[in-house]
Amino acid sequence: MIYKHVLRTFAKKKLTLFLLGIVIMLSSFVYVALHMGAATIEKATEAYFDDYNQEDFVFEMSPYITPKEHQLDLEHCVIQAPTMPALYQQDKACYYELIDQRITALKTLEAITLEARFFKDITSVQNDHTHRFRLMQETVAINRSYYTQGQKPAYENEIAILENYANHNDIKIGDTLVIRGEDYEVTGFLLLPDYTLPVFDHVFAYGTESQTLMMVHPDFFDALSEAPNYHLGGIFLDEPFGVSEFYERHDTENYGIQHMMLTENNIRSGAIYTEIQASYASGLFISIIIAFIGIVIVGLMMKKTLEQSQRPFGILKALGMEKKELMWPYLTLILGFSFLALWLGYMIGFLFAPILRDVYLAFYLLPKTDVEFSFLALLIGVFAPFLVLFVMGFFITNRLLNQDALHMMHPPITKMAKVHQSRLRRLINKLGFNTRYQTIFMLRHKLKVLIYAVGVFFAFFLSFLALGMLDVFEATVTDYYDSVHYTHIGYYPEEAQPGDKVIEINALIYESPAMLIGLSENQTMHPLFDKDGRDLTPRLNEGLVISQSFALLNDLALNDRIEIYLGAQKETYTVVGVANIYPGDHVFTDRAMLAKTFFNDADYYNTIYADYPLDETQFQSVFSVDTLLNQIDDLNEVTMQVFYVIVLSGLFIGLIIVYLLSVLIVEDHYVHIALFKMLGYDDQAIHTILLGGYRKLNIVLFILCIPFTLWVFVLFRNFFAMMFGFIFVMSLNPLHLFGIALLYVIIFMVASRHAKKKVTDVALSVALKVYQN
Amino acid sequence: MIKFEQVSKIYQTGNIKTKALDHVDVEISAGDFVVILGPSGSGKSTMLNLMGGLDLPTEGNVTVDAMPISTFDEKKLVQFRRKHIGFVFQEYNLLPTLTSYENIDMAYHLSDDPLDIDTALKQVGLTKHKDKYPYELSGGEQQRVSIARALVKQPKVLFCDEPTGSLDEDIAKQILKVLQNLNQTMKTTIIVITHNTAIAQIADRVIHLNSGKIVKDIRVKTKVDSMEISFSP
Ligand SMILES: Nc1ncnc2c1ncn2[C@@H]1O[C@H](COP(=O)(O)OP(=O)(O)OP(=O)(O)O)[C@@H](O)[C@H]1O
Ligand SMILES: [Mg+2]
Repeated sequence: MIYKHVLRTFAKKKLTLFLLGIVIMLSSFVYVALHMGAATIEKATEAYFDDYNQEDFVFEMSPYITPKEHQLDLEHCVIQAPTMPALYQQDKACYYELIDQRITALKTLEAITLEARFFKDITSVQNDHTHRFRLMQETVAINRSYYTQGQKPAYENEIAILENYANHNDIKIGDTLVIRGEDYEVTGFLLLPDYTLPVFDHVFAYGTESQTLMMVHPDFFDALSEAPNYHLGGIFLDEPFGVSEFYERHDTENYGIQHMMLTENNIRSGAIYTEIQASYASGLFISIIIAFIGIVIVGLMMKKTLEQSQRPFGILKALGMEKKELMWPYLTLILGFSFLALWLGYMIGFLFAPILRDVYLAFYLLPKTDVEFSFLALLIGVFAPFLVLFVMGFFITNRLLNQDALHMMHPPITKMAKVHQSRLRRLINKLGFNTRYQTIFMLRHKLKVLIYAVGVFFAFFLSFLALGMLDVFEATVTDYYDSVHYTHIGYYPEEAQPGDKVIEINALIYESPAMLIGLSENQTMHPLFDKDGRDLTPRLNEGLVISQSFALLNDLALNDRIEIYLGAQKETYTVVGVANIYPGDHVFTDRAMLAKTFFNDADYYNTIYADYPLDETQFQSVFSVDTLLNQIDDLNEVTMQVFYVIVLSGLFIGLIIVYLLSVLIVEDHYVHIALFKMLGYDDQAIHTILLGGYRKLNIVLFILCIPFTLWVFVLFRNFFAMMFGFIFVMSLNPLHLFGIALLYVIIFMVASRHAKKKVTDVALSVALKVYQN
Repeated sequence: MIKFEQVSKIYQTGNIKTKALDHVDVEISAGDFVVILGPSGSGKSTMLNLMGGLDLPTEGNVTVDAMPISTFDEKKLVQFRRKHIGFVFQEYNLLPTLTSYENIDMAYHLSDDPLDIDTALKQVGLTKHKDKYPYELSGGEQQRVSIARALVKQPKVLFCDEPTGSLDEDIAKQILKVLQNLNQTMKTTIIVITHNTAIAQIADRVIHLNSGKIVKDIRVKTKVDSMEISFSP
């Protein structure tokens, strides 16, 4: 009988319950999808890293040979060349011996093992597009390659590539690729633990459409005339130590080390760790907020439906019905309903997790495994919110039904907390009629206002967050490359070419690895302006011009004196300008000055900035701005998809919350509305008084959310700067904000129309009967 | 002032039709204090709701102050109630989240020519309770707030449906006194529904209803002050 009563009560609220179900479902869905997606990656990744021995840290090596090394007594050679590439060209055996010597020396410093990873970067035209290949050599112990399909190349004409690249370019095992006029057969697809992202030279160029790692046979590798590059992958044998500890304990430049980097701070090998943690955290964060909203709304609804049945229940109790007979139908139905919603969310999340995993795998070079059942996800995603619901439901029903029968038959009107703080009162009394009563009604329904505010704020925040992502590449990479006038960069030209003569060289600047760029005073390709629009090129010969990001990352300001190491040579420069550009690792100075100081030759240059396509045969390698921008575009596309998902979720959650709360408010004020009508208020006026305050609250929340979001962006920026040493510029574009505002206005209008209809639907004489009888 | 011409009201719930009013003709003059008596279910509340524009008749014409309100749509009815009518019900119908003052303010705001709220509070003798919430007031005090809320609009007609139904005798008399004063000093037409025949003594006119029809309609010659009547005969 009671069940029937409860069912009928709920049946009248079908749409409300349905939307509530969606909110509850979303909370477990978001958690489960994000958690399981990330957990699947994590599990497979950990096993893979263990089995194939991922490096714990890396030494990026300087191309220079140190003075000490020049005095080394090596078995096979006497070192005369100034740089490693030069040494390679003179004497390969000597080159490898020196590297072995470096490894041996470093291993005596700390309890570590090291192994060199050799690679050569080449470009090659495939299907009319320039592709970049990083040709690699197998390692023995650290960062061993994992062949997901096929085998490693056994002959000179065999290669193995990334599966992602193969898929993008429709290449199968057994197919041939033409490289420098020769045919090479693809024998396998591989993964390398030190390359979980295909970062070759630019942080944001993660695409595998036109670049791949390529494992080649040693004979092929040696046959290429270019000198290899290498870094030393390392593993801690004992206690791990940090980068600064290492710098403090040892003179790094004696060993040719440019810098040391821990895997967790290395985008190339370790970004996945941060990514997984971020997924876990955001999954938990988002679902807790959604669950909070859902659970509180459930609580409010339970409380209200119970209050509405209080009188008849009081009578039933007076007739001898027990509390639990009244209580359990409510609890069973609402909890059953919630559990169903949570479970559904779990199931959909489970189905969705592989999609999320594949989004990861579109970027990250990691093994793919199936999503497995996770007890933790079930516990946190389903049982935890259920427990909270249960306890809350029990508490509410128990409290309302515990009162004695008489009390329930004649329930006193809910007590109101007094607003006796006369200052607030006086302030309120000064307001106009509508605003005054809007404020009073909201002040006296604080809980409802709180959930409403949390929900709507959260919805705004989600949308703003998405907006920040929208602009991220625009504000960083794209803007920068749009601002420069060159379209191509040629490295190490064979002979003189038209274009700006430039020196680009890796250096250790203020203890962080950076790109030292020497520009001529009459250069035209790379505009350098500070944020006030002053041209900085004429100042280059007075010292260093650093990028704003570099200043921020290293906490530098104008006129600071900073040290630059190029190999073992050290020079001190003054910061004479801060350029308003993004790259966090670009530092500029005068080319001639740089050439004289470090190369003893005022005419030295190693790079050409050109605004025309460069002939690739004339350079060691050629970088094309278009290629990079295309890759950024691909990245942008994925970001856009994520953007839509987040914005839509934000709008959706916003819509549900606004709808649920306005319905709840109207139902709550059922009798008030009748009274207002009796007094002679029309529907519009009633709507304004009861709900108009929420409209104003929306505006306040929207405005408050902007600085909040910007603050979160700063947190993000600092986090990424700390973790990976690059600046990630997230910003809010006013025009986009306006667009989002417009979308929400539409949502609020729809919800408000609905609420108004509900107000109109309150039939006067019937509603008054509630009071009259 | 108020005129019913062959007014009928039929309620329909499912297949059951209830004739609450059956071809009623009645005319009430301005400034009268009218009491409507009748057993439960006789149609009293229905009659009052029709007069006050809270509901529309199934048949017939209702005219108030020369306005054919039975032809009004909801919008016009709202305007009509807003300008001319005050209601007082048995349960006090106060907004629980607003103080006495604020409850009255709700009606004050609607009127073009309202009485001062403090004056209205004084009229019902509640000046010192103006900042209390309904739950902090006794039943009689709550009813007085609801009268103050009705009279602050300076309505032409004040409709009261069992205004003293939940109050004990002394308090009820105080309420009736307030109504009587209002009728005398401000010439407000007052229509009171009651089960209590004793209250009929303070009226200018008493209308008896039974089964949706007027069965008796008496002009009272010797009106009595509300404080002098006795509820128990
Ligand atoms: N909304 C409604 N739906 C259906 N029937 C109704 C409705 N309102 C009133 N009635 C019926 O109309 C008849 C008259 O009702 P009304 O409320 O006018 O009586 P009343 O004289 O005010 O009675 P009471 O003294 O008990 O308040 C009753 O039989 C009642 O059942
Ligand atoms: Mg009645």
